[in-house]
Amino acid sequence: MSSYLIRRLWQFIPTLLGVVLLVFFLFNWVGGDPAYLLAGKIASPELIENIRRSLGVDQPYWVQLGIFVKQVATADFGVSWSTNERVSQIFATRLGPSLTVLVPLLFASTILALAAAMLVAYYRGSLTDRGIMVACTVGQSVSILVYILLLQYWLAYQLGWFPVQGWGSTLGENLLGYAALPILVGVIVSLAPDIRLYRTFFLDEIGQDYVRTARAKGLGESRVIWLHVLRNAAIPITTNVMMQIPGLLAGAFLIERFFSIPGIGREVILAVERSDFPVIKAVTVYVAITTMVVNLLADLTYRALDPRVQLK
Amino acid sequence: MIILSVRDLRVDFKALQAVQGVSFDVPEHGTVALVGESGSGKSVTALSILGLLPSNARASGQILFDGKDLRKLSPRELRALRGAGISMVFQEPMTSLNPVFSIGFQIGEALREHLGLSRREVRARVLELLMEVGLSDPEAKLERYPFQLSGGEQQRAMIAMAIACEPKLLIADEPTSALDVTVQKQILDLIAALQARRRMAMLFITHDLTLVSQIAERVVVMRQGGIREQGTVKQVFEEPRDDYTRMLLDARPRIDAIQTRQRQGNAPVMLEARGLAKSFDGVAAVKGASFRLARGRTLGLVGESGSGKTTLGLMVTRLHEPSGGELRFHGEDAHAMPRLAFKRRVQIVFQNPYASLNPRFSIGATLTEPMRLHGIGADQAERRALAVELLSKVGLPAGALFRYPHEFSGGQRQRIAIARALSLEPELLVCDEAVSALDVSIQAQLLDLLQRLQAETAMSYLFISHDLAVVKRMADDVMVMKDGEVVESGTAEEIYADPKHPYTRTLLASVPR
Amino acid sequence: MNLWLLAGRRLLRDWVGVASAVVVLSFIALAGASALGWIARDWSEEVAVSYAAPSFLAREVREVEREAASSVPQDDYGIADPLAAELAEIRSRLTDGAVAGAKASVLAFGADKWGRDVLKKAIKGTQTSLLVGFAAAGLATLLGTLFGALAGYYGRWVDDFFNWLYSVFTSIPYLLLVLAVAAVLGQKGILTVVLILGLTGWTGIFRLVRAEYLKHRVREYVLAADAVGASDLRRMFAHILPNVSHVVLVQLSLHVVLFIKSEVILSFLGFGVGVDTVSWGSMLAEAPSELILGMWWQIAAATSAMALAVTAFSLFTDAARDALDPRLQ
Repeated sequence: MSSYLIRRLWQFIPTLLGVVLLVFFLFNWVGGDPAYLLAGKIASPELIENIRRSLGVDQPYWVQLGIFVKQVATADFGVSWSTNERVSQIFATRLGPSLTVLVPLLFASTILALAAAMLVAYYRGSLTDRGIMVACTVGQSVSILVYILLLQYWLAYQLGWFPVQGWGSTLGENLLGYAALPILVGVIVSLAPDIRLYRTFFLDEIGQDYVRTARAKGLGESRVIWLHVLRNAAIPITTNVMMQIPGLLAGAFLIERFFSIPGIGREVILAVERSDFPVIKAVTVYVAITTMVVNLLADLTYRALDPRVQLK
Repeated sequence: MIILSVRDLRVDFKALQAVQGVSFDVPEHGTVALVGESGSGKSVTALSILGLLPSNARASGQILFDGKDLRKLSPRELRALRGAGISMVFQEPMTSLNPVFSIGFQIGEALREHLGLSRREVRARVLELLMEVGLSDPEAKLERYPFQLSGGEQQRAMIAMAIACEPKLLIADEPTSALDVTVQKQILDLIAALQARRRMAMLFITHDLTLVSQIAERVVVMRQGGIREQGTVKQVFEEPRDDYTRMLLDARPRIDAIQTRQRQGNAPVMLEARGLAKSFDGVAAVKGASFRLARGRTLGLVGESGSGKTTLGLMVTRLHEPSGGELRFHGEDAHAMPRLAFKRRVQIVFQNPYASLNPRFSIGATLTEPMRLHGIGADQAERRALAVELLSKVGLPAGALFRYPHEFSGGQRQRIAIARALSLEPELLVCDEAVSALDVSIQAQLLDLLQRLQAETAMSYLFISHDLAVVKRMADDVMVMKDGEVVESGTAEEIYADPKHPYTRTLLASVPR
Repeated sequence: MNLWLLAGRRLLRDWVGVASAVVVLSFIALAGASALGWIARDWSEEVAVSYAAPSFLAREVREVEREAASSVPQDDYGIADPLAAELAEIRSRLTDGAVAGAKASVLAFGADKWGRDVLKKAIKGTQTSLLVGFAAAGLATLLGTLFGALAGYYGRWVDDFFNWLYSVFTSIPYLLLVLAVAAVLGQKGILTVVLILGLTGWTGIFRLVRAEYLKHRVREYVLAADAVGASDLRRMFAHILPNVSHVVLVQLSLHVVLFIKSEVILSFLGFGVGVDTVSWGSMLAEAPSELILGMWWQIAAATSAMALAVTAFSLFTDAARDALDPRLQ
């Protein structure tokens, strides 16, 4: 087991290297010279040169790459180009709000989607099944932007059930007040695709031979579904839920921006709008690392759940 | 005393009528064999007894068990019956067992469900059952998962699950068809012993008539949803009244009735292999095989799954590169020959007729492709004409050129595969289980075709099969393989009449007669 | 009869499939007509007052007439008015002009802040979204299929390389990757958007095509092709690809939907199409300020157009997938 872990951790390196190269290629080569952007409309050549030097973009590429690699290794990405705040500081303070929204969101959406998917799989072929699936298809065709806009307008602005935007100072205040509507919106948006996916997983299992054997043994339908099928379907579902985590981190940024939640996602959008490269680079690298770690955890969970999988 | 009585059972799947009015009885302690080829409706009949048909099936008729009509039972009553009064064993043990639960758990489930035993009682009962079905080291096996067991062991576990609650009737749906021939015999013996000891009634479904005489007293012959004949085994086998039954009986390759081929004269050696070996990732599939094959002769290669026979066949065609040893074709090193030149002389027909033809290619495209690649035929029109000739050689009409594989039956597809191989006029044809996936009546036709072609073209065959009866019919010489090694080889006469190696003996003894 | 024809027949029997196909084709036709300039060419013209409500001709004209009639003062001085003739002319021009102006626009979805016809914008937006969706999906499918075929067929180090590339691209969540690339390629425009989406969105297709190639490479018909002498390239593209094409097509269709939705988000954030073009996303971008003022028609137009198109596409994809499923033969 430990040799498997060590080997997997080793494999992070080429992937991380690839991410570093990709980010470097994007931002230092294609993105090129941001000095003009940052200098403003009227800038003297000396000013631009100064900015270039302080950013380090006047160096040859391989030196820049070396600097970047060092940054990744020491987890110190310098300062934001727009706010001058240390990038690591930005992360430290923004992580909390993001998690306050994301963790409840993940739990709530998974449980609801699972329950709905099981219901639909149980009554497969019926009108309920068909109706819910069509509703999911239509629901998915509406942009997340529209959900955010409309729900914010209707529930917060018009009806006043939730605060329209903003963030508080205590966890309780946030969870019950400011985070409630964002979480609700997030759950609604992720329901449709999740239900469809989990339903597929369930139906795949229900069609297997061992289900026929279980029925032939005289087991009741509910035991067949809740024990035999669920236990098998849990494997792809769990790994799927775990792999959603990095995506959630990024996907929540639209929600954070509209509700003015001071989280990482909002920082990213602001950074993109302001061409604040250090922040974007750092986020990309951090999220990539998180994804790799989560994938490893997902693999380990898969092994724990599925006895057929031998860790090689 | 009749324990099961099926009366005028009809089953439809939307447009397809799978079962069209079937009636038969199963006596209380006896065995009835339900026999038929694919599409006969025998499995559907079996599934409808316990109400296990898929939701798009519509059934009518009566199924009387112990005086009650099973089709009229409430879901709860039916569930109480399943696994307790009537049990079922299925064909594919690997997929029929739940992969994430131990077999101890799955067997125990039936006990808990129907008998309400305590945990300790269940465990004790399960251990007894595991021993009764002949599983070694039952304590350890209790905790094992299905994938950790061999095919034979899995089937034993399934049987244990089925007999756990002492059913009065056991339905066995092709329980041995997916197993190796030596294991088949063991499982059949086990089932027979269990039935005798527990005095269960049994409905045994199979496509193999040779098994019937071993285990059943009565037989029901089905074809395309209807019963063609039924009666005692003695009656039906000795004096069949129906043509189809007669045809099935005749098509059985009865190993004892088959004559081995007579070797005539000395033909020049065409193919010689010395120490051919192949390993995959350090695991040896073939450990050094040597043989000779002469022009116009057939070398039979016999073995069970995992013996390495297919790998050897693929090496002979250069589809696998050997890890060791050498192959000589007319004295020349086969691997030094240019790829296309070699493939012109050595061709292959695969086992699975549903997989060996590209589903997206028309038959014409499949047949003309080899010609195009080797420069046979001046233009497409000429190649088409040649393709039509090939089709007629294998007994298919010219119109087949424009059709697609899914429009043909398994036997027809194999003919097309043979035609494709013949298009290059090879000297050696490797037949890798070429008839194993076909119904018995079709098998006979295809074997006739192969023998006729050999007489016409003086091709040599490397005939690979696990079916000893078929090999006996086709081969001049025979090699027996086990675990990657050739354990015995000689003329067909020698091998079949006087096998020397213990494995060969076991193999021959396991063949149902 | 080959499998495409069979699938087509099966599709025709599925009314949902047929209905959604019709809707999809209508959208494509709409987009095409818009691209050719046959309709909505004047979408950026100011044709009504700011935030004009949705209206239909008759009511508007009557109102304008009444207004015109009441707004021009009826002075009667009873003496000969030397400017009477000119005044009369001015009077008539004013009222006629107003009526003419109102007649010019049937504002089914009202107008936006700059008085532009929202319906025309929505139609133009269709053109943008479909163009981006198809082009980006085409690019992503091309890359994903090529990479997947090579990786799945050759295996070993080729597979290792592409898997490495895949893991690099997938360790960055899609939207983040897209935004990062957008941030770098400051320049906007349809081509940029297509490149961004296409060059980052190939990963899903790659994984599926690779899995299919791994499965098919050991199938007997491929071995048989090898046995008769077909080369690697021939086996990959003449033999296996046709058997994988149904998977590829379904993926293409799914990615069209994905990219339409992504483009909307990009345009909303200002990283998508430029100001000279309209997209459903840029329409939605105007929505927050409009909603506050109680103007809901632009968000309604953009949302319903998008919902209709995407739903039809999704349903069609499902129907096509079922029709092409080899297991249901």
